[in-house]
Order: sequence, then C-alpha cells, then structure tokens
Amino acid sequence: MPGCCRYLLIFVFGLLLLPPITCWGADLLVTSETILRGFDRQVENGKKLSAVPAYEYLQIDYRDIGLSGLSLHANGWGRGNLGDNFNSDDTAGQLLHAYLQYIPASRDYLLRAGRQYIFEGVARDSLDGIYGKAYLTPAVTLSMFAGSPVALDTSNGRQGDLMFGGKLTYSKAGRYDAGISHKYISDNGSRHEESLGTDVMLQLPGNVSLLGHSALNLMTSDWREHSYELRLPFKQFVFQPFLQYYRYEDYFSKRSNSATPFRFLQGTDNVLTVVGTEAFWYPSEHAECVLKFKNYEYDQRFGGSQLYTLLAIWKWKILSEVGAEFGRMQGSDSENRYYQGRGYFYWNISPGFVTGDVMYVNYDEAIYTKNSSLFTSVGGGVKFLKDALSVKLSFDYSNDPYFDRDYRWMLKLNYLLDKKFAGAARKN
Amino acid sequence: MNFLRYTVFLTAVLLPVLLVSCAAQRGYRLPETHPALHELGERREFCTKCHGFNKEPVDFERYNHTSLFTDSHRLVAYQDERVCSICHSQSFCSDCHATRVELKPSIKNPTENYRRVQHRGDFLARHRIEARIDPTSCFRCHGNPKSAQTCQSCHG
Repeated sequence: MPGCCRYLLIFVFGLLLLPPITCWGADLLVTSETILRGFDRQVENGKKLSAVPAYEYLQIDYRDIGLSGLSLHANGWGRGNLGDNFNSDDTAGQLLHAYLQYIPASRDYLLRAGRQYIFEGVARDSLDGIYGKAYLTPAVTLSMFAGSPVALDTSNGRQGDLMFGGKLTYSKAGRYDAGISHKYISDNGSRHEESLGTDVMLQLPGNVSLLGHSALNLMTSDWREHSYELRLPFKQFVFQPFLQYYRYEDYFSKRSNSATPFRFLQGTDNVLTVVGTEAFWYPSEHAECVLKFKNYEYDQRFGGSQLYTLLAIWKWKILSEVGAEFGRMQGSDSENRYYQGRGYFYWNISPGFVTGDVMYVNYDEAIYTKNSSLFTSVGGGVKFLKDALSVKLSFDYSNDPYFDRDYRWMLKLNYLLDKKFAGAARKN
Repeated sequence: MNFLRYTVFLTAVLLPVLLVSCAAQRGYRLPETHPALHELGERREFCTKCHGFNKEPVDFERYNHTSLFTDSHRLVAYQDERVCSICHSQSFCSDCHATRVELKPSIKNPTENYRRVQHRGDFLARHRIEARIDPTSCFRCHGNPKSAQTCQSCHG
C-alpha cells in the first residue's frame, strides 16, 4: 500500500475512534456491501477451477463531528479468495475516497481535504489533496484543487506527481451557465496532461435548451473534443439531437503507461464525428418509449456506421417495471455489425423483489467461431430489520464467444447503519 | 516540494476567495443532501415528479433519469456535479468512475437491471465492435494508467 494511503487510513480510522460523546449532534452512516461470487475458471489443459471471491465494500459518512458542517467520508473495497486463486493475487483492494469536508451553515463555500474524486469540467480524476469551491457572487462560482493524482501511483511511484486546476462558472438560474475549467497533471516531474475546457448551458425560447462541452489539449494546442446536445420537448415527446467531434491525435494518449490500442489510435490522425438523436415518448405516466440513432463518420480507416436502438418500458407500480429493447449496429464492415435484443423485468413484492434479464446478440461475422451470444440472469432479494439489511441472490448463464455454457452465482448482503447521536438532524 | 509549493499557492488563493465569498450577496444555495437514496428505493428517478418543470433555481428536467441516462449523463454532470452530489455520494460514482474497481457495475449490481449499464451481457465479446466504432467511449474511463490495467492484461 502506498505511504499516503496508509496515512489516510490511519487518519480516517483514528477519527472514527473518537468517542461519540465528544461530538455534538453527530450523525453516522455506515454502508456495508458484502459480496460472494461463484464461477468456474478455465486454466491450462481445459481444467476447471472454482473461484469464490469475497468482496467487502465499506462506506462511512460521519457528519457534524465536533463542529457543525464538518464531516468525514470514506469508502473502499477489498477482496479475498475463498476458492482457487483468482486474478493471480489472493487479495486486492483500494481506498476509493477518504476526505474531511467542511460546509458552513450558509453553504457559501465547501472545503475538502484527503482522497477524493474531482469532477470539475475537464477534471474527472481521483486526487489526494485539497479542493475548495465558493460562491463569489450569486452568479459566479470558483473551484480550485491541488494534490497528487491517484491514477499515477502505478507509474514509478508518486514522486513528482502533481495535479492542480479549477473551474470558474458564471450562471443565471433558468437562463444560462458558462464555465471554463483547467487541469494540469505532471508525472514524475514531467508534464503529463494539460487541458482547458468550456461548459455551456443555454435556455432558449420554447423550453428548448442547449448543453455542451469542449476540451482543448494544451499539450498539442488543438481541440480534443466537442460535444453538444439540444433538448426539444414537444407535448409527450422529447427530442435530444447531439453532435460529438473527437480528434484522435489530441484525444488519446501515446504515453507508455497508456494501453496499446489507445497509443495506436493516437497515431492514426483519425477524426470521429458522431451525429444522432434520442427521442423519448411518454404516452402515459407508466410508459416510456425511446428511439436512439447514432451515425459515426471517420476521416480515415472505416466507412460510416449507424446504431439504431428501440426501447419500450412499462411501469405497473412504483418500483416495478418491464422493458424490451431491440438494436442494430450497422458497421461499414461485416465484422462490425450485430443485432441485439433484450428483455427484462424488476418486480417489487415488498419486502422483497424478483428480477429477470435475457439478452441475445447475433453477430454478422462469427467471433471465435460463434455467431451469437445468449445471456440470462435471474435474481431476487428480501429486506430485514426495517430495511437496514437486504439479502440478494442472483444466477447468471452465458453462452457466447468467450464463455461456453457458463454459470455464475452471486450473494450480496447490504447493511446500513444510520446512527444519530444526541441533537443530530439530517440535513435535507 | 512541488506539491508543497502548489498547496501553499492554492491556500493563498483560496483564503481571499473565501473571504470574498462570505461577504458576497446571498443567492440560492443548493442543499447539501437530498433524502438518502436508500429512502427512495431502487429505481430510476424522474426528478420532475416532485420538483416540477420550473427552470429555477435548478432545471431538474435535465437530470431526469431516463432509460438512456446512463449513456448520456456526462454533459449534465460536467455542467454542475453539485446537483448530482445532492443525491449521490462519491461511492455511487466510484462504481464506474473510480481509478480502480475490480467489479464492473453490471456484475456488482446484477439485479439493478433497470439501470441499463454498458458492460452487461456479452460485452466482453461485443467490446471489440464497440471499441472499433467509438474508442473514445472506452478511453473516457480506461484512459488513465491505473484503469488502463484492465485493458493491458490482454492488449498490452
């Protein structure tokens, strides 16, 4: 485990050991997901071994610790193998986030310190560091962050790794939002990535809205991406036409720690333009019909491709629905074409539920001598202890180019502890 | 040393910003949390059912969890992740967007079939087609060195 993770863990769990009596109005929420999976694993000579990995996902949210507005949030997962060795390591795990957060009662600003996920315009990264966001005026919001990027710890350690950036947003509620964001990352002391991005939302007459994002690669000084969509509501219909544009040279990475296909694509100098629409029809409160169309055009390598999806959903009560989907990927070559069909249901029978899922795909060109794949899944669950504990069980069957009549099962226990100490009140 | 320098720099910038912020004219402030997801139950939520179609203070219609919302939520999230974080803690997003998660969301939550997550069913076979057609959708999550390890075990 990297040194910083160790310190974060000690810090977080040290705080948890603080006795609740020192906290006024503290509110503790612990969410535990225990997962037990079972499946066969084929090894050399056609021999099959039974893998039974056990996972634990633990999340802790501890609010108003010692000071109103101060909270601690931590989340991580771990895996141990109960059957044969899996993925060549007996155990694995990761601390996903662990940070202290302060939001004053006025909610004028927010401060975070620790491991956290940054989601600010062009920044969508996990960071060990600090983050702040503040309303400068009613219309202007500024956020800034700095620290060490978590994703680079596998690349010669974390010495010389740095990430910083921020976002400035100008908005008028119900009219427009315009944001400009920046991100800089260095890996082992050298510039690894630098991007500048814009985000825009514009409310137009007739309840029409425009939403968009553009990103400039400051390493190559050219655009990586433009993604824009319109939202056009009309009676029971909503149309969402969109346009996306990607320059492979500026979008992908040729760094040695990137996966080979991405390094290859970066050198192809290709440009992808995607134009399409999503169309939603709501004939009643219970029904949802959706049509999706995407057209892909390339400067080089492939001819145009199209994706068609038709989806219908019926909700017969608040948590129960049944859906059917049909799709066609019409690639320029037969190896890039398939038909897809899917049906599913989720039936809530309080305090339990039952689910089913069937998916069939037919490939125009066989993959590893198989022309089609079939996936089915059935599941169910029940809640106990005033819904604090839920037990879910599911069975999957796959017969596809990679799995030959393969059976899997999964048992999942979700446990929720919501403990309010003296004087606590959940903020809504 | 760089880290220390930038931390000091950031603190020096943030402090005056916070002071200005505290003196700023009050506008609408998003609440910190919504009723917890577990109190809403397992389903795709249409925010407008409770919040209506008014555009102020937040255009909740944009955040309606339609059947394609898993595919297309990124633009509204880029715009203002604070609206997402009212209901979703970082751990919800981490199921897909973390630097390293071993269980894909379709495997971790197999009974939540109404979410229409990308990797369900035969995706291991189909990803060769999807990746040829639109590799940018792979890179968005698998582009950093840690998450690229998923690809590297086969592709190098």
